[in-house]
Amino acid sequence: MVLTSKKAQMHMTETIGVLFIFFILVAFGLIFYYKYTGQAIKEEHRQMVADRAVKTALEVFTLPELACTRGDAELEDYCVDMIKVRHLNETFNIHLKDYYFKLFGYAKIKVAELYPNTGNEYTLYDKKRPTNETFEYEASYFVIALKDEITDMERTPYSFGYIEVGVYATSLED
Amino acid sequence: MISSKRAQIEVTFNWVYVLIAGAVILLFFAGIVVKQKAASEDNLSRMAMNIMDKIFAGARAAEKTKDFVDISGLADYTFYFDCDNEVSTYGLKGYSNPKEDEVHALFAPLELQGTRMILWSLPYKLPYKAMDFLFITTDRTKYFFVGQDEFVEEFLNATQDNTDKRKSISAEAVISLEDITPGKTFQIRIVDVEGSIQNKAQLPSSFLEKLKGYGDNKVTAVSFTGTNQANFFQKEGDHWKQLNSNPIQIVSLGGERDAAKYAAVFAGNDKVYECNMKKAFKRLALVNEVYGGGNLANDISKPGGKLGEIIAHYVEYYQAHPELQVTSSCQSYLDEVAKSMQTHQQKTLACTSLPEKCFEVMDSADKLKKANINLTEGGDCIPLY
Repeated sequence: MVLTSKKAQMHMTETIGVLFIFFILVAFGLIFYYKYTGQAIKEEHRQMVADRAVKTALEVFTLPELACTRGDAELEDYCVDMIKVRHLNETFNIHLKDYYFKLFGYAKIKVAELYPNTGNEYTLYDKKRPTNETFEYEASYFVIALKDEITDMERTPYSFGYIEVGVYATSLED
Repeated sequence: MISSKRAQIEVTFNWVYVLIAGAVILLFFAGIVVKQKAASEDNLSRMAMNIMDKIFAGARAAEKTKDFVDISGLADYTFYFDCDNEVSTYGLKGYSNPKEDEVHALFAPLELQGTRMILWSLPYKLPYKAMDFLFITTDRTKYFFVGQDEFVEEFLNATQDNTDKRKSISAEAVISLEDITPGKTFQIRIVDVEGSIQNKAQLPSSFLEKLKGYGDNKVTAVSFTGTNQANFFQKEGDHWKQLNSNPIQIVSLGGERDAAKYAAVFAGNDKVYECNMKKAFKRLALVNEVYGGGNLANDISKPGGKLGEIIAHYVEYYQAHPELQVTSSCQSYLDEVAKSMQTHQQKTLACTSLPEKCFEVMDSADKLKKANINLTEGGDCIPLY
């Protein structure tokens, strides 16, 4: 009787041991899966933000509202018309909700002059995410020519600067 | 004896238990497979559309160039394109996650299949660039031009690459419908530049014979009339059915690479064409504001935007150099530009709300174009664009 009971007790301990190890393995599996999924989501999110940044930059470079023109000829590549730039912010603000937000989303577009004058900066569009959201900002910078036919008629209308195109994306970091 | 009976019950019970457990496990895995299949199809459609979206953005940026995208992996799938209420929709037929685009103009057949997607971007100018039009087609959509004029010649020159056939849009000029041989295509689009296709006109029997195996919606036509208007048709049994009730005006200034006319060649039907053109007119009104200011349509006395700054610059300049005002005529040329700009914005705004008014934009754009030429050639002044 005592012998049987002891055998049953051992059997029971063995079963509990097996179950314990089983659940430990399951828990490890779940933790690994959770971490992997989290990492994959973050990676996908990073890719999406990068894609959106590229798309917004492409959009900005083809904007007729910004580009330098030469009459009926093709637009000048990588050139921004500074006379338009000085008035663009107004148009963007007036038509933010009904048009330009659909084009750029949560983003920022800034034009800055580097040479011969520095410090001339124009923020054309800046739509941040709602304040209750934590967000990150991913910006790209492109060197461009700035054409201003008004400022100094004696000199070339071209100067040198950069355009900053950035996107505001929801932050996934803790 | 009792023990044997108990053993029998136990064995039966074990088998039943094993069967039930096996069935449950089998069902569980079958469920996972079904869910996984649905999820992966959903994922494929989402991924394909995200990639398409990026490719379209790149193609738009590469103005006047044609992009050939290998879609052989999706050769068995059908892409669909639509446009309603100024919202373009495109996706994989039969799958969820379509993409919507409220801003860009996409001109494509209603359905597409093929191994290479062809993307071509052309700027739409009225008189300055309003936006880029993106034309989408595949290697399995063939364009047949019936009739002969400059546009046909220009289209074929622009789309045919004699050194590499894979870099060409499948297009051919024919004398009449009887000369058409569709070949192994998914659909055909007939471009009639002589306006010979009429509503309910009977299709030639030899042509019908060659179209066996093509659904009615796979045989479409656009017919240009002498007054720069277009009518869209679709095959219906043995005759043509006109899709638009009133002729559609091609709103453009003409010339080479007329984006509005090319758009009619690629657009699936009248609805898609008009819907995308509305987007262009909406954008034109915004570009006009950058050039002439937000209030130009109502008040010509105070032009804003680029024009306002140019005018202010000359006022200041002539105040500093009054002797030059006598010899220079910049101010009078600028007044002419301001008047043309105001009319242009008024006509554009009217067009955005009343499409039948859109043809008036051509005249105002032409006047603005001439006024701008006068600025540079006549007055040696800073041009508007």
